Amino acid sequence: VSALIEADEVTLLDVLDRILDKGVVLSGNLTISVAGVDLLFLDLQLVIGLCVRETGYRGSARA
Amino acid sequence: MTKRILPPDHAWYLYGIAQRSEAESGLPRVTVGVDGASMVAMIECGELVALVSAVPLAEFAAERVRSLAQDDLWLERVAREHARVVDALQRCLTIVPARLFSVYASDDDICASLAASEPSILRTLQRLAGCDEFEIRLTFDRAALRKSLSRSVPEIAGLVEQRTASSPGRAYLVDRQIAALLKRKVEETIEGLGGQVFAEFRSRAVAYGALSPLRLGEGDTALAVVRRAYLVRRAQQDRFLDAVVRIGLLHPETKIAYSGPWPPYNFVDPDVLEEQGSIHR
Repeated sequence: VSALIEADEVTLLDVLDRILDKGVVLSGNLTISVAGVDLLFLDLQLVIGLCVRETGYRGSARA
Repeated sequence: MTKRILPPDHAWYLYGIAQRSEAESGLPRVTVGVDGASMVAMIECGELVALVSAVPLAEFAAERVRSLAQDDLWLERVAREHARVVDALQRCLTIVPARLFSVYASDDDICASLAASEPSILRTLQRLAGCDEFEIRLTFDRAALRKSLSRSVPEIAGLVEQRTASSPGRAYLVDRQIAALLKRKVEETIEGLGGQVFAEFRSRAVAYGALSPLRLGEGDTALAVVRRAYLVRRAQQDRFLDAVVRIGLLHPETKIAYSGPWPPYNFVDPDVLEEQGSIHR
């Protein structure tokens, strides 16, 4: 039987998956911003690392 | 929420962009930023406002971020704080969420950047109004699919039969044929079923797009996780989530899960919304 997995916890993976390389990056003279510049190494080290450690996915609903 | 002065040795951390007319009345009064101390403020730039808080350069200068991000606990704390603030803002008004670690030296830097993008951001805000993002995730068990397909695909069943009457050398070659065929059929099944399930959600969303697939485990038996993001109007969200349950019951070959509502991180490009196509092009 197909399972709908639900939980009330948003995992760190869920969060990082969105905010590391999604969201708007303003073009222009970004004097300090590191967004979109060196996040690839974070992506590799953390996001993929978290993915392979995950044993399942938790859907969640925010109140 | 008022315009604030940037303290010395600080920079602006950007959470998102909103329409000025909406932000002036709709912003939450008290929201603490990622540093746990400074309040979220708005910087007015034409018809838009940047939603920001002051952060110390000792922690958020680019070179410090690169160094501190090696610490999983620090990164998790900032990531969760970033998500919390963007989430709080999204509940109050329509925003285009910013990426993690978008840090600017001054008001002028932010406004100069926004000026170049103002028309497209206004267009995006218009399309995001009243919507949240949801993710639908399908998990396929490759081992189970292989087992099922080895029985149900006539071509494979024929090869299995052929193998029993083969010499060891021939059997080896047939085994390789079976393995290659099974691998292809498994991936075709995942793509076909995934597409079929995802298609059922399209009519319930304003826009949608593919997210990068995940692979859980190693080799031919790894779990395959395929994902789509959907932009869903709040008035339609109960209907959308009811569909998750109903469609899930119709497809025992996969586990279906959702997450959301999220701020629309995957829908910041107005062209994606117009095309209703893949987010990753």
